[in-house]
Amino acid sequence: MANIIKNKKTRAIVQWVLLVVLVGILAYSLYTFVSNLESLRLRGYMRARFRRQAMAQKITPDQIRGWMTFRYVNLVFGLPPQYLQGALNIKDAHYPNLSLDALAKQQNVSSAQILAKTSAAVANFHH
Amino acid sequence: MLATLLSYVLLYKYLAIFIITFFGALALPLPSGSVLMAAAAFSIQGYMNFPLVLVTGVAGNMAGDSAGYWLVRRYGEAVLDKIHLRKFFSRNRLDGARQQIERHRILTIYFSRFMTGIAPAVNVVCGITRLPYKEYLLFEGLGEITECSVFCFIGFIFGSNWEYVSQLGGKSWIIVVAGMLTTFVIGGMIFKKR
Repeated sequence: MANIIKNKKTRAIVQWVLLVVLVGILAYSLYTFVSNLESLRLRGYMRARFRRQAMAQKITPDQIRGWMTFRYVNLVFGLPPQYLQGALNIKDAHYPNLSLDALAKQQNVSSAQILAKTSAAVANFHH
Repeated sequence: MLATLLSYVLLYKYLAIFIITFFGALALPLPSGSVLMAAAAFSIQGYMNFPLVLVTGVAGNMAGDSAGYWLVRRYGEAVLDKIHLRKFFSRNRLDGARQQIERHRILTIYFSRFMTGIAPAVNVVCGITRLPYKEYLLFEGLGEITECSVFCFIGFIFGSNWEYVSQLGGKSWIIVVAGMLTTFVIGGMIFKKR
């Protein structure tokens, strides 16, 4: 490696390759940074009203994630404790101290399916 | 990994926060900052208590930092091999931390709290060089209080949107580092030509 660096021509090539890689990483990071910022703006987060809403604990069904537990979901959506247990046919004694991902593994289905069922059940309750 | 840790936080609350921040400060590459952000968001949703989240985060970080400091101070650098943590404390990292501490002791200890990869190395070097514990604890404590407050504040302000902010923060860091390296390489190429 030291010999490679000592050779001027090779060093120049290495520098250019490094520069291209760094510029690529920079460009990609900037692109995804701006995309995320735009997502926040489209969700209305830049408006003061939405910030107050976020601070007032509002969460939407599309923000439900597999790592969330049913106790947490029940709290943030104001659901009765047994509602999701019935809606999703949960027999595990650990409920509601059970994550959605853990339930998916138990029922041998994908996390996406459990998330979709949970979101639908939450949306139905509030209608 | 973050998803698994968040499940534990929802299940075991403050105990999980303490354990995660403890091992994150000790040596393991755990996303403690994101965990604190999320926990603060959970607290404004009524699931946890915000002051307790902050205090637990600070306590876990300070306990982990002090554990790293005292382990090495008492048993020497060889303990890193015995407890299989050597891979997180490469020679380069320790030497870099030693140089920084010699030059700017207070600033290094304080600001290293914000750098996940550097802070444990700084703790180890402070222990090896037998920096007085009270001095170390003062600046380490101030740094952890600041760092945990920043993460908790972000989670508190952004609430349920903390995930977007966490992603933005991670990308900001990459942009800063990649930008600095690019400038360094370009600068090197220009000055070499002259």
